[in-house]
This record gives sequence, structure tokens and C-alpha cells, in this order.
Amino acid sequence: MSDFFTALEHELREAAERPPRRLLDPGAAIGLAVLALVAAALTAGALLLLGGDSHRSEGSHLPAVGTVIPKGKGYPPRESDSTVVATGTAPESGRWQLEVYRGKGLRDPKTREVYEPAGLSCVRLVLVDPVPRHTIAASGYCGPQLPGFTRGQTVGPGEILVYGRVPERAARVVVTARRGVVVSRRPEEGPRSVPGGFYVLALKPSLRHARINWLDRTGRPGSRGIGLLPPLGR
Amino acid sequence: MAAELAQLTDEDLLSRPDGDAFAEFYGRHARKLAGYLMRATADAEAAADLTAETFAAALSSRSRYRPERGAPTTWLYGIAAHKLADWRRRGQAEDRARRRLRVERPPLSEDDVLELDRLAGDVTVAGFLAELPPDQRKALRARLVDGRAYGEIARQEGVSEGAIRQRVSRGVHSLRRLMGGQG
Repeated sequence: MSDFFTALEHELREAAERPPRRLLDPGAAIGLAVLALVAAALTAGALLLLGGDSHRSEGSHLPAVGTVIPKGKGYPPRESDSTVVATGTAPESGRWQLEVYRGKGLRDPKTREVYEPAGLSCVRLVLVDPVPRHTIAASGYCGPQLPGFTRGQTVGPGEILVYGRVPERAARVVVTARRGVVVSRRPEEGPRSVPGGFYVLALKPSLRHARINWLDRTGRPGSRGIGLLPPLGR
Repeated sequence: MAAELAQLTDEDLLSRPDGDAFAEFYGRHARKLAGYLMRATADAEAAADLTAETFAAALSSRSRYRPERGAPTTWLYGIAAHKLADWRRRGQAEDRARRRLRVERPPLSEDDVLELDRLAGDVTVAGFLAELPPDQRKALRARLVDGRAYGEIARQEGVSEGAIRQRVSRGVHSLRRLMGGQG
């Protein structure tokens, strides 16, 4: 079977399921940029007038990729400056934003034993919309191997959210199960200041024997893959 | 699901919003279209670009397809012919539909290039006749293949001789466009 025709079919199938990107001519782009600046100025003014900063951002827009959320701000309050690297909406869990930040470390307050050293690269998935019967607003992990291929996983209402980071040269993130590839997605690019790609996938809890991996531009697997946690990994 | 989709007509597939339906439509026509583009360009990279761009444009405009204006394949090849004409004019394939849909054109392997060459060899006039609307196909076959007179065909079809001449003329025009990529 031809790689080209199969790969193009995947691309088109995925494109059919997501909204198209709006392409602008240069004149319109400049006009919109001016409008965006005016809107941003007005919003900043309104926040100053209202005293700003609500716990959650329901009703508001997702922040732009590249936005830095300062230490102590946001919900949950950030432990250090966090950069938004991707945003999106999951079918059940609603809007999410993926952030990276430098970890402050974890230490036992009594024994001072270090559970996690400071300075690690961390990824955090924040669910922006309030979800009924679901109290986990954020999930994350830290590691010394970042940026590389890593995976985090959390339970959403009716779905499992799998998220993480892939190397710069990753062209696809794929999830395989017993019946073969069940998800094939292009990684999100993230801001220029943060190398590598990112992904957030909403998977059905009924999926079994699932593994995640990344592929380079030629379709070659970038690693041995990572088994997903139960129930996906069962 | 796949078996269910296989039962649907091209028109039904284009009327559905889901990716599976469009993938089925793609599966039915991608190789033949790529062969046509390979034959027209003699350039595997260009043929791959144009195939991807044609299907991306078809995907984004499928809600605007109108059956009364022609068969889905006529519509699809019309898009391809337009992209091909643009490629000839500019010397490179347009990528607007792909960018809009964030569709990446997959790279070609050596096997892919060989397959495109083979598909180009499969392109025949008879194959393109099948892509024409039924009235044009029938008139063309009767006139050019069977060699029957316009009047005779008109009597059999119950239409005027002028109508048959028009169908033949349009059929030839469509064939020329399909085979040569020019309108």
C-alpha cells in the first residue's frame, strides 16, 4: 500500500473533523491586528476598572500561545511563571491550555527529604471550564529529559486526556491500540521561545492496550512508544 | 461503518460532514485522479501537490457541490483541472486549500513515485468517458464510437438534433479538459 495515499487520507480525515484556519490577505491581517490591539487595550482597561483576576476564566477566551502567566496568578495559582504552549477544546472536558514552566522542586516539609529537585522542566494541563463532578483543574509532570518525548495522563469526564511533549522533528503523534492506529495528530508547535511540539488527546476510556509514540516526516517511529496508563493501558 | 459508507453514492458522501465519509470518497477517486495529474504533469512531486490540493479544496467546498450541475467526479476533476491550469501558469502548485485546512502533503517514497507512474499509464479515454455526465457520455459514445448520425441519435433519445450536437460538443470539451487539463 502506498504511504503517500494512506498518509494523505489521514490528513484529510483529520482536516474534516476540525475547523478550517482563516487565511487573510495582508491588508485584512493588518486591519485585524489593529482591531486586536484596540480590543486588548480596552480589555486591559476594563480589568483595571473591575479589579481584574477571577479564579477561573470561564466565559473568557483562551490565552494566546506564548502568553506567560506570572507566578501566583491564575487558578490554580502558578508556582512559577508559566508559558502557554497550546490551547484547545476537548469533547467532554471543554477548553484546556497546556503550559510549561520551571519546577520549584518538592521537599518533605518535616524531614526536608527532596522528592523532586528544583529546576526541572514541567508540563501542566489546565482545564479552563468548570466540569460537573470533576474537580481536577490541572495535571502535570516534571522531568529532566525535557524537551523530549514525554506523556502525562489525567481523567476527564467521559474521556482520558493524554498530553505531553515531542521533539522538534516530530511530524505526527500517534496512538495505537489493538486495531492499529486510532489517533494520528500533528503536534502543536508552541511559541518560538519553547522548543519542541506538544499534544493533548482526548481518548475514550474504553480503549485498551493503547500506546503513544511520535513519527518523523518519513513516518518512522521516533521511539519505542510509551504505554498509556490504565484503563487505556490494560 | 466502512461497509455502510461503501454502499453510499459519491453524492451522499459529499453531503455528509464527517471525515470518514470524505475518506471514502477520497479512497474511491484518489489514485485515478493522481494518475490523471501525473499524466498531465509528468512530475511526481507536482502530481502529489496537485492531488493533495485538489482534495483539500474539494473537502472545504463539498457543501457547495450541487448534483444538478454534474456528477461528483466531474466536479472533482473540474477542481483538478483548475489547479492544473494554475500550476501551468505559475510553475508551482497552489497550496491555499491545504494551508487553510492545515493539510500537510505527505512526502513521496520511491514506491510512491513508481505507483504514480503506473497510475499515469492507466489513464485512458475510456476511463475519462466514465467521468462524464450520462447524457454527454451516451451521445459521445453513439456519435464517435458507434459512428451514428446526429439525427438518428436524436430520434432515439427523443430530443432535437441540436441538443445531441450540443451534448457531443460539451462532451468533447470536457474530455479535452480532463485529458489535457485545459478548459
